[in-house]
Amino acid sequence: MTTCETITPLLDEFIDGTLSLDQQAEVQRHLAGCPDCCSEVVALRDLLGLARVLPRSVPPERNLWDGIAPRLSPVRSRVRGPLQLRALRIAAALGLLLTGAGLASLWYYRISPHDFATQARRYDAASTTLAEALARDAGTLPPATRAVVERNLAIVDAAIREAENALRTDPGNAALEQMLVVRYEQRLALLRRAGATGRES
Amino acid sequence: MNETVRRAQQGDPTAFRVVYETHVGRVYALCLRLCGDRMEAEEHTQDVFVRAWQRLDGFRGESAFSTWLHRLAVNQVLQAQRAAGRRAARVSMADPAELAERAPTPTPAAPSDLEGAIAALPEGARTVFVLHDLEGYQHDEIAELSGIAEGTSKAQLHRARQLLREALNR
Repeated sequence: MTTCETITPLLDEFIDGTLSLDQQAEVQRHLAGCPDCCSEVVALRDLLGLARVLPRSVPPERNLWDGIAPRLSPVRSRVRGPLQLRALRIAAALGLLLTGAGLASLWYYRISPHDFATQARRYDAASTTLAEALARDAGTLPPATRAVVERNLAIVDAAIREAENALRTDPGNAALEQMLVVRYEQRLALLRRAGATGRES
Repeated sequence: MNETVRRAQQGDPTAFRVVYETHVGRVYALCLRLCGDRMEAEEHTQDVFVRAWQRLDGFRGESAFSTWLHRLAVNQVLQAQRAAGRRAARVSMADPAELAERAPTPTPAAPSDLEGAIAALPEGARTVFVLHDLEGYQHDEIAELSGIAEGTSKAQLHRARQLLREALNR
């Protein structure tokens, strides 16, 4: 025999439809004989009914755009086409040949540890410059070293892709952004080491 | 992907203005209900659109743009609340009187009784109610977004609903 004390904690999930079938049946059986719990259910449904008719959109009382527009820094075209992406991938694969120390320094004088957008742009700039440098300095790493660097780059790139994908579904998540920045740093450090090795060999 | 969003992604501020006009009401409503304070909601809304501009290249059209933008807004408000909570914790160790002064004073945001009652909820209960009952998030998502346990999210929802019913019955 169920009591109101055992049923009451289930009523929220009952009206949300998230109880198991067994629990749902148990609540329904109790409701059939309990006017007090029935009233609870009706009151909860009324509340959710009110919530459903709240306007989805509420215009702000003042113009907010004036406080936004001055903060929109100009950006170059940010969407990469397939050719650009392919060029960057090739650049990454050839990253072993890179004179990377200078590029990594682009990363290390970043403005603020909390400004993900700035850091992402710096990383992006480093990658673009890298692609240009690669075309000039190809072929300076020993094959065995190159294979090791390629494998490590693939691991870091996979981690970067994973974090970027997660950020696409959860934009602005600070923990993910922090994780991604660490991966960017790892990748640039790897390129820098590879570049230094290439110059020494 | 919507052509206006695509142009904004390419750095066109005029297109981004259109994006703003299209979505500002929905983003503002979300921020207002999450934080319960009009001025704070206005600041959050502005920050959300600035962040959206900075992160537009991360939007690939895999979900609706509004979904992406609203998630950004939720993260913006919750992160600010967590930061404010940390500041309040520091203040409370140093000066309890100052903490009392800084305690938010909910301002009823809209004429509806329910809007005012939502704004007056304690922060944790308000966050869960808005995300679950108004925005349709599940408890596991709320737990992840807010950094709380799923059970805590359920308990906060129960508390929020009880408090709202009491407020509306007064």
